[in-house]
Amino acid sequence: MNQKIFYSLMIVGGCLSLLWSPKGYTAEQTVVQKGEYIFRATGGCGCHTDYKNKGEFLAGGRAIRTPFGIFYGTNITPDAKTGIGGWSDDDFIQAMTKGISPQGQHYAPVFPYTSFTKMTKEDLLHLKAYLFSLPPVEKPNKPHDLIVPFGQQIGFMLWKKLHFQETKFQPDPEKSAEWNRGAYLSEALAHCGECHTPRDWQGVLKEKMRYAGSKDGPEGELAPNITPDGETGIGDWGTADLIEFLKTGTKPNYDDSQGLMMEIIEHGYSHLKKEDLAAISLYLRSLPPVHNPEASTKSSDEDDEY
Amino acid sequence: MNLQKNIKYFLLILVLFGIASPLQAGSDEDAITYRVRVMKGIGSNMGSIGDVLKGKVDHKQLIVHYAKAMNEASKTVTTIFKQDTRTSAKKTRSKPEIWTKWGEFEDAAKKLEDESAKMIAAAQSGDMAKIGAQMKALGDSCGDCHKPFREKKK
Repeated sequence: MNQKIFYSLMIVGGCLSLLWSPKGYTAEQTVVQKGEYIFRATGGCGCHTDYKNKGEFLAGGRAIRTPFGIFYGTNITPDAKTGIGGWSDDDFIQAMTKGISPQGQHYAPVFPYTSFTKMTKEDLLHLKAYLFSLPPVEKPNKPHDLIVPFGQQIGFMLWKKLHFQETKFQPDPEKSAEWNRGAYLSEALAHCGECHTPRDWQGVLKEKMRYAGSKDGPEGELAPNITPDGETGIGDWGTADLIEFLKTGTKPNYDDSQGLMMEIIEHGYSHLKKEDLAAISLYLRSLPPVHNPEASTKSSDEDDEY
Repeated sequence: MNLQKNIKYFLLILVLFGIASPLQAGSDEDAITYRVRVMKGIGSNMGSIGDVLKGKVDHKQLIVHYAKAMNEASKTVTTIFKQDTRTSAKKTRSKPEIWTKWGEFEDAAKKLEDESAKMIAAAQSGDMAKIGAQMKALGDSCGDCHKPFREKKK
């Protein structure tokens, strides 16, 4: 309900700014509007909203089941006490790109700073401006419930030493601007690979299986193969199919998407411009195809559908 | 004597089964296979409209036919799900809620009927913007029933 009121206010605000701004709404987007777009492109940060239990928007508490235990999404509303309200720009950038809290704690890689590290500084600050424009909610974070030995600070630090490198997105000069935009959106913002790539026993993404799907996706769901493999991936999906899917969740066989992906589309990708969805589509379709029957997109074509 | 009596009972049972079996509904397995067939047919008609909207084929004038087909099939949904298959060993993503909340299931099925009827009207108008908008509403009516009544893909 709160969310509805909030969105209504945003729409009203948007209309008003259209009247007031001499250059018009589209010509001059505010920093908050730009930040909201970044927010949508990341998929809507759904791990931080406990939708199932009607939790407040981005106030945390959502249980995320993984093979390493249960993580609880944190409060990222601008509440000074329990959220990120006290964070400086540098704190925010450090958290998003280095996986380190303002207090110097190392975050578990369930928080995809492993992807966000590639974001531009500008996008990061816009995202922060958007998050800080939202209503603060006082709600203390819930401690994670992890299987020993995974829940140890020293463990996260070691993991990062071994498997994490702070990096910036490197455009490929040989590829088109559209391809590079798609690569940036997919790799740095939408973080597709975090769920659609299988992980090893240490939770490290298997590089050879990049985007090839994982049967142990978050919340125990299958995250299917999104490489253009003909038999088990999206090889037979055209650009129009992918755009339609990211916009509405409808697959080329006209079944709807379920579970987490639907949620991410609803709160995130469906709000993106068509050009950006086309860029993501171009990028995904350019990936090396990987055959992975374990996480086939066709797994739903069985006779147990209804 | 005893043997004769047993044979009598045996015959009686045979006769009873003989009469009863044609009256019985088909097996749960067949019922599941059948409803998958019909539901996929609805999805397939949805696809026949969608491919036109995506610009894959240029068959705008055919949309109305697929909308009608969907509308007709939508009227059969509650009938094909009537058989309660909760105890069947056959794999199915149909949730028990279909039969425990039958009224809600009927409402959800009715929505598909209403939205597909609106699609017929939109298609007859020939207005592609209208058809596109109605496609969204039609798709939502699929999802609104799948969400509460169909198990997530594992």
